[in-house]
Amino acid sequence: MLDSFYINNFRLFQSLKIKRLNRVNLIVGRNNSGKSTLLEALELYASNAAPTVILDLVENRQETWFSEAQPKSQNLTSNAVRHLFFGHNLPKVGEQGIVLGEMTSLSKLHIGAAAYQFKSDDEGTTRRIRISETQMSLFDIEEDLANVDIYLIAEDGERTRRLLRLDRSIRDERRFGPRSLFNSEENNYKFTFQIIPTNNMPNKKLAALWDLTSLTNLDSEVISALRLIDERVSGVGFVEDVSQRRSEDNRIPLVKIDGIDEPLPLKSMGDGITRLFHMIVALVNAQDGLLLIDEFENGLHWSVQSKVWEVVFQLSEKLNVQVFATTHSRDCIEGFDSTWNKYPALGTFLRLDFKDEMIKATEYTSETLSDAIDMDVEVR
Amino acid sequence: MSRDNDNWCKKDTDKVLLVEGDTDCHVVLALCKAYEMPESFGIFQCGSDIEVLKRLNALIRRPNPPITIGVMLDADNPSLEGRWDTVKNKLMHYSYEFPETPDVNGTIILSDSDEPKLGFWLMPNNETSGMLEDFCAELALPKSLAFARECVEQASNMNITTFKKTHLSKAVIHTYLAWHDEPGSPLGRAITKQALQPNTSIAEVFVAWLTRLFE
Repeated sequence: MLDSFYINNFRLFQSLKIKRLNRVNLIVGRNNSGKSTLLEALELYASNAAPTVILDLVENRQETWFSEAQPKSQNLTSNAVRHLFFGHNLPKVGEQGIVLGEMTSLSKLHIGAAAYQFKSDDEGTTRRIRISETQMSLFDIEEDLANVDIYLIAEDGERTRRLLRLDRSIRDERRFGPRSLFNSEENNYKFTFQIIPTNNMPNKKLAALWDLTSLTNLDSEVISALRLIDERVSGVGFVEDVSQRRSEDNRIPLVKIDGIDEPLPLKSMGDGITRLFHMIVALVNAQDGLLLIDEFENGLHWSVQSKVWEVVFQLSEKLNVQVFATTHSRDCIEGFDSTWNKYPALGTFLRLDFKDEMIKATEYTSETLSDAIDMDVEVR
Repeated sequence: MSRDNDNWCKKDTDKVLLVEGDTDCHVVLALCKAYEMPESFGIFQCGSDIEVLKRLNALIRRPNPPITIGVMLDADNPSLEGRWDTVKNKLMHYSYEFPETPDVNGTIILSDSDEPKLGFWLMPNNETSGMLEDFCAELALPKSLAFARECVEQASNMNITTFKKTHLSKAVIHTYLAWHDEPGSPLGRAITKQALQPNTSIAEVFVAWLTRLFE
């Protein structure tokens, strides 16, 4: 579990310190204050800067359009990965790039740029040798730089990993990046993690997670959570939707309802139960890791929010999952607050806001949050 | 008072004075008028002492918090010392440094970090336990007030009263107000009508505190 978090030079965050984190963490703030970006930073950290995660982060925000629209401009400064860095600029070789990690940690994760040169040794073996910034400046431009590649690298204590080539476009990197880069990525993860985007997970992902869940006794946790919204739910299953046989995304969740013979599509039961299903399936598959929920409240009626928080607090403690959720909704915050009061040792609440042209995190104590809710004072 | 719909006791301004009830609000409004104070702050009536402290706590952490928050509380629950301790405990998690005892001229506290400037006035005078009515008693004509006190005591001795013991000051000041122009005025109006006189030393100290706090 992360007890604090430090972000440097990542997207909107020039430098962000979150001094205290807990089992269940709720983050609020205005639009573009960095709530989703904080979740991205956590994902990047948990994945230990996995190349596929980096590519996803850039592509999910459609930040590849520029370099894709200009196929010729494959120089470093236009590489779409630059959007991950504060100010949209790639760090120069040797400069500090993104730093992520617990505030007290001495081996934070550093993501930056490094130059490597192909060199043959006496026996004819070619190796990539990392070269320093000063060495680079000694090269004659063009000629000598021909066999120098610039990489995005991750440094973690003593260990350095090459992640992506920065002189190739994101699309090419996906297509031609060395297989070894992507192999067994998950073994490198610092934490296992699951992400619930604002509009839920793709069906395919949900189905895959449910397949894992249904083989464990955690499926009963999922079903009892669904009963919070509809107590007649007695079972869940996935079936292939034959009407969409060409789609990859064609397995759909059905629920068994007491008193009704035929199973019903989960979706027909409403947005609330669908959202809850995604959350709980993801939660039980994030054991000993992180669960990142963007816009917790989506689809959930105000009246069930505190019940859902209750399940999230209890299950995350039981399964050792650390939850990070964002919200815009006051009802969601109220539900969180009443549950946090029941489990005072398990929560944190923080707001991201601009102060002096920097994004800062403002932490609330549970008493202050309750006072703000009682007195109808704005917290978002 | 400009617009009809403006509630003068529910102002959510950048410089704000939090008070317990409507009576508190109107006493302050009347004093400000009497001293021709510029309109440099708004008053927010919270409902009770507990709600004043809750709102204060929540406002300090609010996005775009007020610049200055003044707090006016009765020092009667249970006493001046007890009240001051409650205030200190409520705000313990911020970086404010509180003096051991409140400043008799009204306390003003600045924070090192980016927290609002705070001011505290504990009724009646930051020195003794009591309430708003004890403050107002200081504005009354002494001879007339002494007789009002006698009347209340006599009535009490005759067992014809029903007020709670802790409300003795209220009973006295309203008895006093019963025979001044106009009989039955609430405290704020009584100040405007000079039945309670704003040019007394305690009111001067109070107004000076407001001025220093919200300047």
